[in-house]
Amino acid sequence: MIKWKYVMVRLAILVLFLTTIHYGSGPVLSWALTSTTEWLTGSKLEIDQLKASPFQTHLTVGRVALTSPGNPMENLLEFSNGYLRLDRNALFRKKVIITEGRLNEIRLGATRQVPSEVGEIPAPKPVESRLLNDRLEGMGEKIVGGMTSFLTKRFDENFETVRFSKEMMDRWRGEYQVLMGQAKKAEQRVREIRNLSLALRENPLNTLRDLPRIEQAVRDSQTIKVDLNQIKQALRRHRVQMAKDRGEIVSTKNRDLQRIREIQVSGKLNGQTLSQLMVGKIHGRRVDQAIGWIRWLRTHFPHPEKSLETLRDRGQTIRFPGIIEEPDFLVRNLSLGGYAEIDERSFEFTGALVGLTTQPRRYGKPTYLHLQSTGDIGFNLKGMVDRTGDINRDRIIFHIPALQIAEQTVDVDQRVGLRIGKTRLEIRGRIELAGEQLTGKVTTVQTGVSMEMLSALDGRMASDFIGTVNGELASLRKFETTAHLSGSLDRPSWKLSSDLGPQLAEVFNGTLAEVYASKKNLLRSKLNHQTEEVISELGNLLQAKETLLVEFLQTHGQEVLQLNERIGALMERTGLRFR
Amino acid sequence: MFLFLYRMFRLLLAAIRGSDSPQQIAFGVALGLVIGLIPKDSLFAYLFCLFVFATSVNLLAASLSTLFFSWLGSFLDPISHQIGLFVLSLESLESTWIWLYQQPIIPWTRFNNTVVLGSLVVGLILLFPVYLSAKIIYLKCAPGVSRWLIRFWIYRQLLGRRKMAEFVGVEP
Repeated sequence: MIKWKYVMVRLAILVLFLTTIHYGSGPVLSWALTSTTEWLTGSKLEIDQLKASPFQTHLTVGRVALTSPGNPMENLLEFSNGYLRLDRNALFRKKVIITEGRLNEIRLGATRQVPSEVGEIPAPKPVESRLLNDRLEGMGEKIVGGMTSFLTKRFDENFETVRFSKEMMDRWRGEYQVLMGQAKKAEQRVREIRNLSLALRENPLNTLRDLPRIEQAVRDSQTIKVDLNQIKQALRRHRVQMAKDRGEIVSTKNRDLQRIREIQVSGKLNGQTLSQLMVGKIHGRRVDQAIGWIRWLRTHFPHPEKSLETLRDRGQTIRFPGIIEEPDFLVRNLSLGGYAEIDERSFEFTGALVGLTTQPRRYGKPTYLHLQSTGDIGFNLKGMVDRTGDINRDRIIFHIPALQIAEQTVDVDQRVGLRIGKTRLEIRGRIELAGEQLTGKVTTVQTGVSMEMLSALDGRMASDFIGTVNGELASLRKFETTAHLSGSLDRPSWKLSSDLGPQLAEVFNGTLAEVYASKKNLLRSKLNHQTEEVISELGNLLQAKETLLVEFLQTHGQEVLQLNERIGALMERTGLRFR
Repeated sequence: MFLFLYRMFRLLLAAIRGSDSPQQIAFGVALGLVIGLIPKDSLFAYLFCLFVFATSVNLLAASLSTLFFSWLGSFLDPISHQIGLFVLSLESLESTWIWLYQQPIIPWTRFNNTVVLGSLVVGLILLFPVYLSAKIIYLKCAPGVSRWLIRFWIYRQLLGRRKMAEFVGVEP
């Protein structure tokens, strides 16, 4: 006979026990996952709801948030819900193997409403990579500064010809002034003699009375003759001297021309330096971000030395020879979907996580992560974490084919800037970390570029330069920048190379050379013009003054002779003689 | 509703109290020893629990014994480890272990852990001696202890009216 009382009681206890396991598995697993994850990654894990049961082969999980170490207001990763299917046969063998699963609405780097308790978790060191081109730092500004100061420089006052010609003109004017003075004095005396002669002709009786004056007039006429001869000789000398002076002006002009020819740009812009100046900081941020990703992989993905087995300190678990074991925990394939942000632009992505395990050496294969965007921003990221060998290896390969970049202005100098309009940016990168050795490169290609040089420089040469440069920049539609990474994870360094700097340098140097040539031509023509003007003025001066003086000499020379003869004749008629 | 709950509580007490023959109590203590010694992350511990529930052993004795030997077991780990290591290292058994390890469910027992297997071996070896010892001790000490315990309300509730009547020699 069945003892129902006995059976019912034990059945009730069994049902109670199984119900507890069924409903208690979720909270227990949630606690286990939380504590294990926090121990492995150093971040806090928050699980809102986890449904699990030993009588089912799947897990469903509600909102999960993994906090950012060191930043209580940010979640490193969170997702709204997830579904994980477990391998039943593996469970019978005490292996938790997730054959497939899906995490939905993943958000990377989401802001938290409530700060997390991360007080004991040290904040990760920010990535500060070292640019190997740093020795060139400041050179760009210096050279561009030289260029801008040159563009605003004034040359006109420095012509020797102008100064010399001015002096020459002043001197010659003085010389002729002296001659004209002498001529005027002679003319005055001639006029006096003429008046005396007329007075004597009208009244010859006065001859006796004016005899001393007549005598003086005769002497004066002799002196005038001498003076006129001197003026004539001076004119002859001046003609010779002026020809020499003209030659001297031409020599001075030639020296000035030589100086103009010798004018050169103080230093040519270096393309590499200019690249660093233009894109160094922006590219540096991208490189640091990419290094930050690989550092995250290295820091948070499990190490063989930090496996779950070390948690058990009771006894020793014997591994039997010949058994190829699967890891105790393995995610074969986990589909991912969510949102992320690049360059402050949000995009939707899907992806997969393959081969995630706590015992990578036992699994023997690396963990792969593949993310790709489904929205406007094309994005593809492939990550690999290899902890199977003696050397830990991490690799990320990413490609963002078309990222729209907003307009930006780069200050080249305090007074010169470069406006880069909206462009399309393609980013490609491959970074590898073998042990502590970092290698790789990050390349960006910007297409559809429209550049304009902005300037607060005064002066015609500067405005000519800016105008020409902007004309040349219109043809610059694409540039590529590459960062070659080296060093270690703690001391990453990179070397920048870009064709932007060389292209800009070519434009700047070419335009500067053109502006220089144009300026030199202008200076040359100005000099020639000024010299010709001076020489012509000198010629005119010579001609005008010489004409005047020659005419004067001819007129007054003859008049003096005539007056002399007239006075002589008068003296003969009156019978008077000079002593 | 209250009556139903009260009856359920009484049934639970009866189940915990179980049968109280010297054999059943002694067997409860012996099974509690095995369960107590084996680490609780091994399926062996739960299989023995199931066995305790499936048989009419005294659950109270088994529970108290489990608690006591769980505490004692942590001090016996070094000995269990040595015994487990010895057994697992026996070449003659290696193929058996490998075969067992490859079977479903068996890995949950963690038999390949030295402390688990050592504790199991120690528990199984001590099962019968503990059973005999517990039986002898119970027969000698039970009347005196029961007289002392009956002064406590909780013991009286656990004992039940029928047993109380039997104890004081009155028909219920």
